[in-house]
Amino acid sequence: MNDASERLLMSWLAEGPARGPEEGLARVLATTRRTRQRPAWRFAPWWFRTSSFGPVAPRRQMALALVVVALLLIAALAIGVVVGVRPRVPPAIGVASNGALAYAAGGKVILAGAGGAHPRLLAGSGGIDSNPTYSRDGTRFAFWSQTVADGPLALFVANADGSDIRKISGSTAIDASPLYSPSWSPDGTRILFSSRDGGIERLYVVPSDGSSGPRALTDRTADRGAASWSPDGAWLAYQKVVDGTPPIESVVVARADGTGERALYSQPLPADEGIIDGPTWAPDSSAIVYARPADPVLEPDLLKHGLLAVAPLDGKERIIFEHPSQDWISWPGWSPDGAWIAFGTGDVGHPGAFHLIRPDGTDDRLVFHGPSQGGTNCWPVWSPDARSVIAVCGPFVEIPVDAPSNARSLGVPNETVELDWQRVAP
Amino acid sequence: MATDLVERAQRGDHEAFDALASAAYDRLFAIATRILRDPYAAEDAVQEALVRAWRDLRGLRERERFDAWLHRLLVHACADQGRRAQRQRAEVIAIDLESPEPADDVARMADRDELQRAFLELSVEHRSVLVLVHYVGLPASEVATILGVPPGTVYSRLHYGTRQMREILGRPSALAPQPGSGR
Repeated sequence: MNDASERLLMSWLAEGPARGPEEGLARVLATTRRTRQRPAWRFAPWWFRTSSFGPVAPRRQMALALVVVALLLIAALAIGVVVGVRPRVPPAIGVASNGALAYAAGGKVILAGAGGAHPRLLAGSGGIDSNPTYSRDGTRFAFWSQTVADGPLALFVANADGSDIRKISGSTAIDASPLYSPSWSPDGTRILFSSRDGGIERLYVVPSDGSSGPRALTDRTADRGAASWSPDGAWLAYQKVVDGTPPIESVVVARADGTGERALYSQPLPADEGIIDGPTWAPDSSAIVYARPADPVLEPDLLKHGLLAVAPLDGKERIIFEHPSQDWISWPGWSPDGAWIAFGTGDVGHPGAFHLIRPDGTDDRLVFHGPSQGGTNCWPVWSPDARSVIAVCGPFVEIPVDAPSNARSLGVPNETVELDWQRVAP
Repeated sequence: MATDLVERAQRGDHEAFDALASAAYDRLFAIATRILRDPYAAEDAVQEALVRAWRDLRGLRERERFDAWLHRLLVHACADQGRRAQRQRAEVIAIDLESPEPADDVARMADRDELQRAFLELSVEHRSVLVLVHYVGLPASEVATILGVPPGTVYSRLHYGTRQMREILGRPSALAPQPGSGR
């Protein structure tokens, strides 16, 4: 295109309306009034702060802790070499003993002991690290890394002690927004995650040893994300959004190779309504749980209610909890022993609450009144032994199931945004 | 754009977001209309972008980049609209120009028709780059930031877009004077 044509193009582009219809703006404003904001933790930028990481503990304590941990590691290594005993690992399914905590704060991964004690800064990838997620046997963890702010992500894996950090996503530039933690296969050989490809969110799987690059499991006909492996390794569960007017959002399951996809629940997703939070697997892989808004067509009497639903793989979903206000329900978590489902309720600016409920919908217990920022910004992380649950919100609170009144704050930095609990052998 | 409005909106303040949306609406509509060449689709795209902005606002870390972020959401919404139009095989409606040229300027109208035809043969991604650079007047580096792509991608889209426009406009009956056309 020569200069004359380019000028013509610019002149042509300059023609046309400079103002939008007033009723259009009115519709937008009315729509946003009815729309729920997503919790901040769903977004990568929220975690990937550019500010420098502040000390978790006084420098002297940190140095001492590092020395102690290093000595312990050396001792453990020596014992392992001398005795030749392989470390015991917990079974992939069910309860296990509680191990370390891993969390992200200030763009770094921190490894800590029970209650957040003795935090240790992971050397990390050299970039902005987040979402540490332990393998089911507790021997390794995966985490995201971002070299530059707003840049692509890479997936890293390290040993549970922070050693042998390696990038496993090869040259693939991962564009994950919203960002979900990676999901390990129960046998620890593969990791599942979602990334945008040309604007379409797709599921990928990558060997955890980095022996080959990520492979796409799903096509580009719909957005698919928030995926997790079933505890028995046979299935994947994830959210699916098919574009349309309105878009259709579903909670679906598929075989571990991505085939046989079927929806356990679907609903239209008008722009002015909420979103599905979940799914989370039952420990026996028989069902999933998720929070969702009411269907505006099929459930008009429940409009603006937050609903918690359990859907068996071979049946129809059942609502086990209704929140009768304009508040919503957070991402739920199923306890490792299968006995409880934990979730938060509330919205920004309102006092939140944290609940435990039986999977059949009975015995609902309000176990903790959350912070003023609201319960939907919280989500549960169960202890591997199923005896307590951490409400991951500011401040983070560990709630004993049998004695909720003994809830206590975790000793983690306020800027902590993601946390996982290591499973270890009993 | 006041970052304090963004901060308030991030805390759930609807009035703050209303002020932000009202200030941006006309600009977003003008951009979307030029990308999609369809005022109805443009209105839908702007609504989608602003509703997404409200819904996902808490994820915006750098509040001073709210405008750039809005542009990114708008381009994504335009791409969504483009896919829907393609899937539904919808007839694309030419925009109704508010300032029509003199009726006797047939040649100029023909130019615009050719431009419209050529422009619509481009992908929404390429159209977005052309609009952000040639209509909004943003430098390629800023467009790269908005679109979340490397600057080289913006340059290549500009190059490809203009080259494709030139090729389309170079076809018979395009801008070049035709025998007997009087031009």
